[in-house]
This record gives sequence, structure tokens and C-alpha cells, in this order.
Amino acid sequence: MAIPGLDRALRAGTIVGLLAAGVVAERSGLLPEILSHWGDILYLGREHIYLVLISGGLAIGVGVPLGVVLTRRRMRNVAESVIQVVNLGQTIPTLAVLALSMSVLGIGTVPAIFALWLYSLLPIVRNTYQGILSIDPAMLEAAQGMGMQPRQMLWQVELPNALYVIIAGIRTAIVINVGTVPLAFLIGGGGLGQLIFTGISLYNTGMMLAGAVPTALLAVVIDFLLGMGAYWGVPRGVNPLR
Amino acid sequence: MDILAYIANNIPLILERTVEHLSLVVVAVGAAIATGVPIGIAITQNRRIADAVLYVAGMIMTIPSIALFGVMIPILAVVGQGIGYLPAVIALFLYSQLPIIRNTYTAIDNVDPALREAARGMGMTAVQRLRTVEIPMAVPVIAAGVRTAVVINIGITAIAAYIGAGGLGDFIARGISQTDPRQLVTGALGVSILAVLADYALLWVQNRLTPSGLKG
Amino acid sequence: MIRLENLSKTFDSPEGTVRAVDNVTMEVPEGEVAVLLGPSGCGKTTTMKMVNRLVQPTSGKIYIDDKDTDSYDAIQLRRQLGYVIQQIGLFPNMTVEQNISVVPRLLGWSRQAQQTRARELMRMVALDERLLSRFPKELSGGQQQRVGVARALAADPPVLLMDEPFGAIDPINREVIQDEFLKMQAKLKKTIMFVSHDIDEAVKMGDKIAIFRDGRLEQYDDPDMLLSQPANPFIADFVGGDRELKRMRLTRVSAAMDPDAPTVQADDSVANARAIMDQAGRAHAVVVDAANRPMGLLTDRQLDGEPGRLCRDAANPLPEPVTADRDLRTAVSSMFTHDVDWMPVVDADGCFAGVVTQDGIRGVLAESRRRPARQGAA
Repeated sequence: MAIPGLDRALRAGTIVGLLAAGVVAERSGLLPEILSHWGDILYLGREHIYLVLISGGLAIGVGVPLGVVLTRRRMRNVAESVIQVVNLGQTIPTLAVLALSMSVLGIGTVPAIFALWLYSLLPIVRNTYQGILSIDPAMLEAAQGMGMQPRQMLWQVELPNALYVIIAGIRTAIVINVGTVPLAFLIGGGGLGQLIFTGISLYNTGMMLAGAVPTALLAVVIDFLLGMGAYWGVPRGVNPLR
Repeated sequence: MDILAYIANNIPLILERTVEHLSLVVVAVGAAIATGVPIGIAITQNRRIADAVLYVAGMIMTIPSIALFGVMIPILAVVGQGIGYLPAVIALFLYSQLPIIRNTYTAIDNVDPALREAARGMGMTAVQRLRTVEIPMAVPVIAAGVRTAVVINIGITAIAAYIGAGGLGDFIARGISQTDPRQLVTGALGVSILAVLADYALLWVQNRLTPSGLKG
Repeated sequence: MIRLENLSKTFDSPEGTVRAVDNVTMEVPEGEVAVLLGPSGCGKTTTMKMVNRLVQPTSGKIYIDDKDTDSYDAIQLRRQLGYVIQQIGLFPNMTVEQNISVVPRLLGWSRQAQQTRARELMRMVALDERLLSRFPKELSGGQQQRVGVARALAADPPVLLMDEPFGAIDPINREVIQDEFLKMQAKLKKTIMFVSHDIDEAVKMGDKIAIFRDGRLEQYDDPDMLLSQPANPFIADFVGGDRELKRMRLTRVSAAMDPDAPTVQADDSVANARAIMDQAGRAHAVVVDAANRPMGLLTDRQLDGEPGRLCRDAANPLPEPVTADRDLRTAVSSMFTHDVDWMPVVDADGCFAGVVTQDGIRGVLAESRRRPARQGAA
């Protein structure tokens, strides 16, 4: 029983809601207060994105190859245990990872990037591993029977077919990453978290929102962009969405 | 080691914070189950509403937790509950929605159509079908969703210490601001162990709830 | 041509040593289709997989065109053989054209050559060339299977290995694809090793059938031989209690008909008809028109009456004629449908060629059952 025009109504509702929030912000003098931090927002926002890109990029660069290696035949015995450890790692709260990173590496950008990198690694490794393992064995048998070498099988058959799942893992990792960067401020890593935490401890709502709203927007936008990337980037043949 | 000594000397405090921490999580997840599961069941009736609801819940998940806490504060300050327990619980409650609703929805939606067909053919109403076929089969998946929600919430509750909600995150916060590695590690290890234990405990529960016909 | 000599595969299991393939010796003549047939677990698939070394033999030798396959590198060997599997195994990330061109690409063919070959193959498997740019998930099961066959033929290998290739298709489409494959094979004359568990498919597709049981080759013969002289009760049971009916599928009406059945012209007189029939010593004669097309039947009884009467007016209606190239099974079925025990036979142009009777059919089946049997495996 489809209710016609429902999603249009929802979209309209969201826009109205945002406008209303905007009006409230304006009326209560909140909006100018937030905008007074514009300079900080830009500067810290840039730092924020920089942290995401570096730690995320490194996580992809290490995580995907690591995931692939774990699927190889000679790693069969070790692979399951490694994945168990990876799963375990993902249950550990992000704040704890940041804190432990700080206790070992001190404060600053490096320990923050390290912690972010480590945490983003996990979903990427796991999805790469599962994505490749879940490929239809019939395909692999056909490839082997036709005379493909293992390297050719990896690049021409396994990776392209696991691509969608791998990208889903990257998307999860980056979203978690963006959400964790605010905490990086606590160990000296910079980013919009500075506005949020300082705003909270000073009871300055304007400052706090100046940090919180851009952070939330950044997260939503990046997730949206990655979703588009997944939709358009993965070739039609292996893309369940197309 | 300093840290071990610290822990040994502060067990009552650690326990107090742990209880604080857990109570936040339990209340939030409990409330989330109470709303999430019925919503998850309800949206299986209509594809478009389901897509909309899941989309909104998903959006909430992408918002960084501290940002959500931050936004809760001015809103709740209106009723004088700006910091502390309430904003934390509400934020945690919202974060638990997606895993629970999505798992409930997927579990019921993915029940093998052949089973639904058989049930209908036997003369069951939609409600009877839900009760005797779909929900029992969905329980393990819902349990998995609850498990995800709990583990995520244990992590987020640690951050809630920064808005005065207490819990084990308090050790971490003080450890950072006072440059006290003992408190820092105590807090970090505390939440980590709590998260891992909760994950295993709930995994055990999830397996207990899986009808033996469906296992392995 | 493929030759297996004393081929064996054993492996260790918790229950002891398992002989998956036990000392198999057989030869597939060039240009022929050999079907490896048997129940699940009989070793037929393992045997075939040893030819392209997906399974390593424990002992024994395999020769392709008199060259020992051990002398090839496994991967180079596989690129020289075509391989088709039941689940098809098309690569979803590649278009149909890219799928077909996999082995040519591995062998280093030019882009141009790949494209030309792909188009050629699509025509060969009766698929629209426009499907070349589609992805496998956009094709039906039958179309996917044909692409699988095309892919195996891409590098024009002399030998094809097929593991239940049509098993995943619904029975109706399977018939169609089998027929087209046979037409293709008649032109290409590849040497083919074909694994199946379906006796009907084996009888239809195979020039030779190899029956396996528990790893051993029980009998290796052409289909008619296998059906008429199964070597032991297991094989007799496996081919089915209706094996004579199956045999009938393999024989044409032309082999069982009597070409000397007497005919009389439609415009002849009844008196003449009597003379012809007396001379031939028969009680019936088929009435044919000027073009030698059958149109009626004269029996003894109709010959009474005015001698000058025309045959065409005195004749009884004829049962439906059957064409000489149809198989006996269809002919017998037709006899039952029309409730007769004989039928006139016509050639491709509709001209009278003879008469087929149930007795005649029985005779031809019994005669070939008495052919000398060969010893089990070739």
C-alpha cells in the first residue's frame, strides 16, 4: 500500500524543518553568534578534512592489500584468527583507542592520525576479506580452468567482483573516521572538535554549535558523496544498485 | 606498575563509574528496543515508509556523537536539563535506533517468501503469521542489532563524560586534562573490556535465541 | 584425440584410502563426443578434471594428440583446452564480449582479432550480436549458457571439456541448446569429453559413452551398443528398463522399412492392382498418384466388384505417412496415435519410399542386438 507522494512530502518536511531551525537560530540571536566563529570554522574545518583524508587514505592503502593477502590460500590458517582480532578491535570504543594512542605516542597530530588510521583500518580489512571470499566459486573454477594465473585471477576476476563490498567497507570506515575526528582535539589533533568541546566547557552554545553543525554537515556530505561514488563508480555488471 | 596500583586502590570508584556507564547504556538501549522493534515491524508493511525511516535513522548515525550531544544541550537547557544524564540518554537512544530498526525490518522482510506463502496457504492472518513464523525467525537478527547498538553505545557513553554524564569516560577525560596516565589507561581499558565482554555476552544470548534449526 | 592410460586418482580420508578414479583407460577419437556417464561420486568429473590438471593424477598418463600432458605447464595446457562448467561461471564484472575474449586476451591476440572472433562466436551459438555489450546479469540462463560455450570455443581449441554444461537450464531450453550444439559440432568436429548423469542426454549427444561406477570404467561403447548389450546388471539398470525404447530413438525409419512394398497407380484399374498384388504375394498395395505420392490403400476385399474400376475410387484412406528420416520412437508413437500397426513411409519430397510395420521394427532391433560385443573398455 504505497502512499503516493510520501517521499516528496518527507523531503519538503525536512526543508521546512531546516528553515524553521534557521529562523529560530536567527531570532534567538544564535545564528550571528555561530557565524562570529566563521574564521575558526574555516581553519579548523580544513584541519578536520585533512585529518580524515590522511588517516582514511592510509587506511585504504594498507587495509585493502591486507584484506587481499588474508584471502590467499597460504594464509588460510592464520586468516580466521586475524579476522577475529580485527572484529575484536572494532568493539573497542574510539575514545579508548585515541586515549591509548596518546599514552603511547603523546599528544599532537601524529598520535591522532595513528589512532584514526588504526580504527578506520578494521572495516576496510574485514569487508575486503569477506568481499573476496564471497565470490561465487564457479567463477573461480571457470577462471582456473581457462588457464588464468593466480595474479590474473585476482585483478581480472576477484577484485572487480568484490569491488562493491570493498567500497561499502571504505564508506563505513570513512564515516566512522569523520565522526571520530572531533575527539582528536582532546589529544591535541586539532579539527572542529576544538569549537565543540571548548563551547561545552565554557557553556557557550554559539561556539559549540559552530563546531557541531559543520561537523555534522561534513559527515552527512561526505557520506552522500561516497554513496554517489559507490553508485556511479562501480561498473554496472557488478553493481547491485544499477 | 602505577596503573595497577591505582586500579587496586580505587575499585569502589571504578565500580561506581561502571555502573553509571552501564545504566546509561541499558536505559537507552532498552527504550530503543521498545520503540525500535515495533517501528521495524510496522515499516515492513510499506516499502516507501521503510526507506524513509531507515534513511532518517541512517542520517542520525552519520552525525558524530559529540555533535549530537552538543545539539541536545541547548535544546534541553530550555527545560533545565542541559547537561548530564538526559541529553546523553536521548542521544544514545537515537543512535540505537538504526541498528535495531534496520535489523528488525531486514529480518522480517527477508523471511523466505516460501514460508510466508505456506503460512498464508494454511489460513493464518497477517498477525498470526508475524507471531508464529516471522518474529521467531527474526529474533536472532534483532538480537544481533541489539548487540551492535550496545557496543556502539558503550563507546559513545565514554564520550558523554564530557557533557557531565559520568561513566568510565570520566577517567579518560580526567586522565587527559590532568596528564595522568593512570586514570587515562584505567578508563581506556575499562571501556574496552566492558565493550568486549558485552559483545561476547550478547553473542552468547544471540546464539541461545537462534532456533536450533537455523544454526550453523 | 584424447587418450587416458591407466589413470588413477586416490586420496586419503578419515575412512582410509579412497580410489576416486581407478585405473581408467580409454580413447576419445578425434572429432567425436565421448560422454562420461554415471551416478554421483562415480569419478567421471574427477577423470575429466585430470585432463586439464585441475586435479593432479596419482598415477597414469594422459595424451592429447599423442603428446603427454605432463610435458605442458598446467596453465599453458588449460589455455589450449575449452572448459565449460554447469554453473557457467561467467564473470559478472565483464561484458559478454570481454568474457568471450578472456583466453584470446591471455594468449595475446590483437584487439581487432578478439572483436572479430567474438562476433563470429555469437553467430555460431545463435545469439544476437547486440548482446556483446551487455553484462551477464542481464541475460537469461539459456543465453548465459551459450555465452559459456562461446567462451570455451574462443581460442578455437581442438579439445573441449564440458562438465554437465546444460544441467542448470530448464528442460525445454536444454533440448533446444543440445540440438544447436549438435549442429555446431557437426560443423566444427571438436574432440569433446562431456560429463553427464543423464542417460538420455548421453544417448543424444554422445558418439561414445563411458559408464563409470565407483571410479572404474564399466563399459565404453557407442550408444546403441550400450543400450542393446549392457555389460552387467548395474549398467542395464542404469540405462533404464526402457532401453529398447531409447534405442528406437537412435534408428531411422529408413532402416526398418520395407522398400519393396507394392504400389499401384491411382488411375490404374482394380484388375491390374490384383495382378500386381498376386505377383508380389501381398494382400495390400499402396495407391500412389502420378508424382508417386501415396494417397490410398487397396486390400484384397476392395478388389471385388467391377474389374474396370479405378484404384483411386476403390481405395481406402491411408494412415498418416511418416518421413524416412524420423526416428523409430516417433514412428511407433504415431502408430499408437492413429491406432494402426503399419505406416507408409515417404521421403523428403513426399514421395512414397516404403512401408514400416511393427514387425519390421522388432526385426531391426533384434538384429543389431546380436552384433558382436567388444570387451568393456576400448
